Amino acid sequence: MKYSINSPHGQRTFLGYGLGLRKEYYEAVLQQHPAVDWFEIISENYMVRGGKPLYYLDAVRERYPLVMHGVSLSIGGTDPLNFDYLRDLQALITRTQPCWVSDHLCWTGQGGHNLHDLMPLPYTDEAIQHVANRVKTVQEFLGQRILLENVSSYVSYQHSQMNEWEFYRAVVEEADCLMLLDINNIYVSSRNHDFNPLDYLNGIPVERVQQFHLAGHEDHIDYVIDTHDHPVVDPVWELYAAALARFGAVSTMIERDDRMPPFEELLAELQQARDIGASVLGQSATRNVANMP
Amino acid sequence: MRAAPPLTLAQMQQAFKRHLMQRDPAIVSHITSDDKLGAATRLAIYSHAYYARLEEALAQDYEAVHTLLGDEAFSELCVRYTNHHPSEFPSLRWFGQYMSEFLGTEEPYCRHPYIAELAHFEWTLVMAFDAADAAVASNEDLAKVAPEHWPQLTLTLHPSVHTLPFRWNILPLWRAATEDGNFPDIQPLPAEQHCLIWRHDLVTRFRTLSTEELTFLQGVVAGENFSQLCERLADASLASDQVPLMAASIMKTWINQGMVTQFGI
Ligand SMILES: [Fe+2]
Repeated sequence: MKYSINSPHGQRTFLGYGLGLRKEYYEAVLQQHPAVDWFEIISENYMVRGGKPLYYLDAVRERYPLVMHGVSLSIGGTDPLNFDYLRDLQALITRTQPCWVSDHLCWTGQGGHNLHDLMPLPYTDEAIQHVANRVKTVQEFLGQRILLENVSSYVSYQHSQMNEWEFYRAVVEEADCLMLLDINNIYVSSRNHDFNPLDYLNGIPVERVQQFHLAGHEDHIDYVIDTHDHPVVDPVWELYAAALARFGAVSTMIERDDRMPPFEELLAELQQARDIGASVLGQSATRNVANMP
Repeated sequence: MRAAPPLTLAQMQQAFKRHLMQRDPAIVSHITSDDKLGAATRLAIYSHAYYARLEEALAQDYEAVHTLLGDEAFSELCVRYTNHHPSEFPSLRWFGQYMSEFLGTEEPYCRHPYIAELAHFEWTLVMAFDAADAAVASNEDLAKVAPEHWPQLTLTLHPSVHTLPFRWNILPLWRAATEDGNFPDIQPLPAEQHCLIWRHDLVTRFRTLSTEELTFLQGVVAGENFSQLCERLADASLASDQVPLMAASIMKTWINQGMVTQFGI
């Protein structure tokens, strides 16, 4: 099957530097038309019939490229895939014409209940097969490759047979999907599970990576929680620079979901990402969005 | 620690969910502990996040109920509600839909029926906020209807239009809780009233309905045409000789307030 976005072996699409579209910034985005290259939306927030969410979605889409990021696909779940949800997702894709669509490598519900959290999977062959099969079904349904994001985790399972990045790699290669690498999540999990985040980066296949996330977290010394309510911290910026050195130009966005700062602060933080990008990649990294919808 | 027999992926997820929702300890022996953090502490991060995230969603939808109850009682309500009505939808948008019913039937909340009524009001605001879009009709559209067609005239209401009966002074209560903090004495109304809630130019609005408007609205919802609507107003002994004028005036108010999307003849 041929998908509408670039092959993992072809040239990666580089959108530049983006932000999460959040309701606190709707008016600022429309009025100031800030120099943000693209926005990422949380798909579920726009699976509604009308009103402000869709009004602002359409208005922002007229001015910026968008990507869609879901939180409820439950690709690692053991309940049947929710085709009502996938139909809503497809309808939103048709409306929004996103550059691509992503969700998380996790499970989010069981027995008909949605936990609204990104629950970690055990790193087993069983889970690889299970997730890969479901990704293939979803990709068939949507007619395009999806991106799966690594989540932050606070537990690991005794019966895991490999480490996280081996599992992540096996899933995306088996499923033939792409990766949304969350640099902060790698850092958070490296602290919680005591691994070297550079080992993680080095275990990720370069050609599968389509997007980066950056975010802040809450540091409790013994453990770190992925809260998206603080600025990105220095060790994560350093890891980001290492990721750019390994993967090259990758579309990057900052996730901020709580304790929302003035929009200018987020723009300044995004500039920091650009500056690091420029210093690691030089001038070679120019956006190649000409052929995007 | 004794090694637990491995679980299938489905068993593991079920056990994890039971830990979150019912504190079932079965999953604990499948989670790795290290010198920094034990399995129970690690799992507690997830339990805490589960209730916190759902409480946050409820606090967004039920700002006035939250203020009225205070943080502590609202948190307790959220835990009880969450245990009673676990989310069954991919979006948090629908999670709070049973709150009014829950408050109306569970002790101690049901002893104070205005709490359920306030929650019903707030949920209806949520429903109007993202109801389907539809272009609204104008007075010019109405002017195009020829006089001889008026008796057959029907109107379609905007999808965001909702009505809600209430027996307590919840509107000043809601304003106090969400805006000015001037809490009124909570008291029953002399007679049941109806509130109209709808969205106009993307802004959610509400106001109380007059008896005439309520009567008219019930006819419109039943699909009645203008002459039937006038009969309904006359039957209700409302403004007997001025009925067509009154009906036309209600219609114009509704048009100006963006409540009407279409006329039919
Ligand atoms: Fe992320």
